[in-house]
Amino acid sequence: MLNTFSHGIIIIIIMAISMLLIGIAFLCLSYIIRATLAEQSSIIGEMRAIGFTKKKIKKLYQLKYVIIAIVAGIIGYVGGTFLGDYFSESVILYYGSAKGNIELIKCEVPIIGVLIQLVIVTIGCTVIISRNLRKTVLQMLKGEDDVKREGHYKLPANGIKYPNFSIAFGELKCKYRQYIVVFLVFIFSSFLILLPMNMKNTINHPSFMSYMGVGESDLRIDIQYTGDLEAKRELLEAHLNNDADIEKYAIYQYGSAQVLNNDGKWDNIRIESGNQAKFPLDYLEGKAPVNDNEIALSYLNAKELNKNIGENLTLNYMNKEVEFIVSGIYQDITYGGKTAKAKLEFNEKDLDAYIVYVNLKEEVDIEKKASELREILTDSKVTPVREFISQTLGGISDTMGIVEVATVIISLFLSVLITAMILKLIMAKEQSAIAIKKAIGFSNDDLRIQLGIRILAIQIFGIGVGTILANNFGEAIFGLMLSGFGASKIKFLINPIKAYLFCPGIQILAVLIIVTVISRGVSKYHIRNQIIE
Amino acid sequence: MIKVKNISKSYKDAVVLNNVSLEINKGDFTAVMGPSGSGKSTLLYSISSMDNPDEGEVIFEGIDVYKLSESELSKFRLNKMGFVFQNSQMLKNLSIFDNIILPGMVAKRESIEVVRARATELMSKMGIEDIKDRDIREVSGGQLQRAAICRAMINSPEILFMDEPTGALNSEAASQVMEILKKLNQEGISIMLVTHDAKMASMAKKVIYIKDGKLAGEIKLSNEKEALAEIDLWLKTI
Repeated sequence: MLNTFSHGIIIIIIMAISMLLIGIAFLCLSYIIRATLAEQSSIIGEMRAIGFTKKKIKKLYQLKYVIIAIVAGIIGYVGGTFLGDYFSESVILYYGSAKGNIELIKCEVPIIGVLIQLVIVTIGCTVIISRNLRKTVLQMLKGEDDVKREGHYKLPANGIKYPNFSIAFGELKCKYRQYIVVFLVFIFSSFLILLPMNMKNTINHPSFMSYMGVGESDLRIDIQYTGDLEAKRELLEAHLNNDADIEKYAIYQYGSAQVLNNDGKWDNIRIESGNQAKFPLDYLEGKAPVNDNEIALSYLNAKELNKNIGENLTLNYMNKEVEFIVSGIYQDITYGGKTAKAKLEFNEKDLDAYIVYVNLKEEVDIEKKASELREILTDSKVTPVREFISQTLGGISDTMGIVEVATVIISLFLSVLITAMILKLIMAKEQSAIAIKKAIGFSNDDLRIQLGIRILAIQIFGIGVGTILANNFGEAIFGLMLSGFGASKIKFLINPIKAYLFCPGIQILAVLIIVTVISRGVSKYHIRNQIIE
Repeated sequence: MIKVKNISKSYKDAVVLNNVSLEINKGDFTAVMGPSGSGKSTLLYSISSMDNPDEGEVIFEGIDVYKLSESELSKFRLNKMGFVFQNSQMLKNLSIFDNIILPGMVAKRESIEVVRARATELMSKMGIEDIKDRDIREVSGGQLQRAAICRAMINSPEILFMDEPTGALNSEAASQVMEILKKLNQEGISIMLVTHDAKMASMAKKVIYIKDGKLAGEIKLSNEKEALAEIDLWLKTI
């Protein structure tokens, strides 16, 4: 089940990345078309002035982008067909191939995808070009309407202390529309890096134990079913009572009973019996069972049995039906997420196991104590809780590690790529302003700093939004993913140094490097090129 | 003030400037004439440190401008030179007034109050004080060009470089600009302008003629009233 979970996470993340990439690709395309049309406004104006009809111009530009979309679609289709087998190797290894006509899914479904992409590109092009052609010939020749839409900024009345900052922010205010795509990419990038990182950090934290149906503790001792289970428990209890390193412990019995389901049939239910107050658990709803007629259900059991707090539940144990009242609902991803807690005295022969949770005194080394207890309690399995979580969720943790690295690489690549592309387009669109600024005394470095400030301001804002989304919306996504396994309300455990320092730092550094490289292009814009001799 | 020594410049295989040397003194008003593509604008940009020549030197008050770093050169330009171009070349996202004061604010030589006061004074002198808050597209070409002169003057430069400043203006607006330039020169500002227009050149104290990238001729104008006729006659001899 946990293997399914770890592959599930990869699939969900890949799907999320794919969806968002498709969205970003369309945004970029729309941006490129708009930028191209804006740059070629006077050329289109001239074409219309010498007699080209709107229909002809529309066809001309449409054709260009449709050809690009067809070529890209073919490359994507061929690439996807070849690489698809390679990427699905590990899934096929675990789960086998799908039944039915797999070739249909492999070959024909992507063709439909390519065709949909082509239709969207064609419609997108038509809408953008038609909107552009609504302008009069004179407006197009003059390249008008941009400034009207952009508006103005005012230089500070009390003077400029840092001219590059004032100008960069002023222009950002006017030209913010140009940065929407890159802003979305920065949000997405930050979200994508933080989500798996927060997930991994959460499942690697000792308090993740509370999603495994047990309150926080230091050690777990398992006495598995053998003939002399009771004798072993007595021996263990005797030792724990006399061990000065132990702060507290609680012994829980695990056994099965039958529960009356919604259809009036009896199902097996795994029940934990013991003192619930010693290692208190955070309940989703209600509280731990205190009285003999109270029972707490795991989230999945409550959902399956359709039980809420205060409702009755019938158990059958040793052919005796007993009515219980549901006192609480808790999260538990162990045993398929279907467990219960009640004060039920199991017959020794019905016991599956005894599990003892131990808290050590503060100064005691957990690992050392575990080794010591292993030597004394040779028939029991002594495991530090941190190790137990890691063993139980090892596959997920490893998978999350791979996903974490992959998402960092993908996100940084995406940020760098889109920044480079947008920066080039912005420089091309603003070549006249760049040349004017140089002519009135700004150096190339000043102009590079101004471009950098604009991009970094957008990025810092994007990272902020992405972080808030990852911490809140991401938490909800993780909860949704784990709800199928028994934990619906997950609280992210965030490593602040990684999340708030390392992640933004690495993203800002990557963008700063690409801005430094690409912005060198400002040196090629010269006032001379703006004036035709 | 400026010594230009043997500057040459080529674009790909075409030689645009070929071993040109000249001198500009304080208070000079020099007009550069020549046919299209002769290299007159290239000469202006080379002298004004905006376009590196391939060979030669430009010495501005004893400083070899092309030995300065790019940022030193920008500061030098900001403080010592003013520029006016054919199409006023203003920043679209700033009002007329902010366009004018921007170089003054960036230079930080004087307080913002002084810069603003000078801008207001310059605008008033040019007769455009009523358009200060307007968008650059809301004013006429002549007004815009006068605003461009105000911008060029905001840091009290030692020389104004102008590339066809009246090229895109109607005759009335061109005359207004010409009068302004004459006044500025009388106040002691050196001017070097590129023009096709002999009438415009007739306001200068000296006219040089560029042909095929070479200095083909030079004339000093002594009589203001007969300057235009003098130029016409001189042009026929080149």
